Amino acid sequence: MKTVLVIGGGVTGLKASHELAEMGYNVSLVEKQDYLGGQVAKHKYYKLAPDMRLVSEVLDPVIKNVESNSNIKVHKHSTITALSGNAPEFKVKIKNSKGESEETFGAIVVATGFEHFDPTVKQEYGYSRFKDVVTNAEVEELLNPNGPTKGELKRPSDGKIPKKVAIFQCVGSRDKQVGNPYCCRVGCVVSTKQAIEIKEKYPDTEVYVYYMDMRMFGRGWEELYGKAMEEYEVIFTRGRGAEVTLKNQQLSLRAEETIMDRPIQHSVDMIILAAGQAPGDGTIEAAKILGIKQNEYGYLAPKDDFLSPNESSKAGIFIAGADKGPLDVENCIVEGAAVAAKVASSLK
Amino acid sequence: MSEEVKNPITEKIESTKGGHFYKEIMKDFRIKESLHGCLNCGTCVANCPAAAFYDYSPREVCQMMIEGDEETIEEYMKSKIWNCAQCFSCKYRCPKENSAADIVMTMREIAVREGLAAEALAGYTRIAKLVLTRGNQLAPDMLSPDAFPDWGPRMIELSSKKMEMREELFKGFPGMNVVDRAWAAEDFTIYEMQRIWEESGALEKVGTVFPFLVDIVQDDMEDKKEEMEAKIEAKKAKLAAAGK
Repeated sequence: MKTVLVIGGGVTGLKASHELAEMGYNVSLVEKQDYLGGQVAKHKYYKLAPDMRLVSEVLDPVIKNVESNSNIKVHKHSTITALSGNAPEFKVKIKNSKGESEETFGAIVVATGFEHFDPTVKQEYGYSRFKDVVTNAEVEELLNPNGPTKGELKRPSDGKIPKKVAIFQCVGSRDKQVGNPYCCRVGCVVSTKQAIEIKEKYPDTEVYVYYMDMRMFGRGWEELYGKAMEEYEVIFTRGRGAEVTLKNQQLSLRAEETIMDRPIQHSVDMIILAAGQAPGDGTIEAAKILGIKQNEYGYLAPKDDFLSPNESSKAGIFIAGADKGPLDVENCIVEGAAVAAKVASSLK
Repeated sequence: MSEEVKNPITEKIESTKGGHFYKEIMKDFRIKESLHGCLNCGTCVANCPAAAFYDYSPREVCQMMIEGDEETIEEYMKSKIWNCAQCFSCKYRCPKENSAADIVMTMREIAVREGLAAEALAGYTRIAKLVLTRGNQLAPDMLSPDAFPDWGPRMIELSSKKMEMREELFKGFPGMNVVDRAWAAEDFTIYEMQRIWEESGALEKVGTVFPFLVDIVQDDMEDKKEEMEAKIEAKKAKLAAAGK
């Protein structure tokens, strides 16, 4: 049977759908929101590291490839509610506002992705208590000319451009206290990118990054880090942001300057929390409905991390992208293509 | 043959890791729960009230135990660990769920046992004496205004009439109308407490830090021994008569 269900209309799902359609498969793409593009679209990501390329240059063609392909049927505002049958004949119930229908598919691709970690649980950072403590995803929206502030970094409390900005790394990542000991794999480069964007737009604004390790392993990331220090004078301080307080309308942070061995207090106008990735509700729900294995953090577990990275614990159900663990946009697209190849060879 | 040139730092670590104090600390059951590697992130130091004012760093405590250098550990047991306020902020903030406060607690016990604590605790002699002879540790008399400038000018005013204030506050509680101790425990209660310290070996332990205090307590006990032991016997007899 040459029909494939793709769950999730983020970059991974879009790429997988397009590649499968190009190979002649009939694809149904189910997306719970009324737009495509997943978290990238939801938070209006503006530029992509390390090339500072506009997101629209990448996302628009990926969406257009899907919407213009007659082999792909896009179900927006839809979710799956039940699964029966086995490979290669799955019966899946798809629900939208009009009702529920059952369709038959030869294979299923789960590309339900991630959600940004909600820093409210890290109470010591004051997110959701102090207006000017924001997340990196919120900063993407602020820096986007199509966002709520038309691209100006206006701080939420009074709309002023901050003169001193601190960025906290590893919020909700590498942290046993919140149950996420893993690395988010994107926070370092995203923060470096945002620091450069801020310095480019507001050269007088001081930007401080509080970090434990700068993990610049991706293509061009280390060079971007060097550029941030050398060309933009972003100040990187080795020590994890520990606490935020508000005194007389002034944010104050505590950290340890671990290289100089001294605790420090620092008054700033705005704090950006580099919130990591967490498996989204959609991923957890899909795993439950489809009956596929998750790892201890809730991400989907491949059948074999090395030998069958895109196969789930159940034959005929495939997994790809950030629902398997934290991932950047560039590699989500690679995953989308990889899973398409695996699905095609399994349905032959 | 030329003489071997050694890197002084490397030599220090290699030659002393696994020393006596290190082993004593590591074999305590609390250490397993308190040390799971360290990211050197500094969260503990940033949250530590002691690190803000004194020469103390919870991160250094963890790093020191990971390195295991005997000389450093001994040095810490003699001085720095006594600056920890035992508030456990480090434990509840550490992203690796380490607890420098628990390591310090363990090290303090071992420091006392091994006789390393006397100098660091010398400043507590008055408090220890009050605990051992009167059963409570702080007395209004010990809170002289010049020692607590951060309590403000009101402190000077209050301390000049503390006896009057206590009499007013604790009407009908004669045991509280004292300023040379927090409250006046009965002699019998104090004697019982001292006996418990003696029997349990706690007094002996105190002796490793404050040797002369042991004599003071024993003298104190000796003075009332006859009277108090008679009371204990009477109490025993009463309990036996009641069939307990």
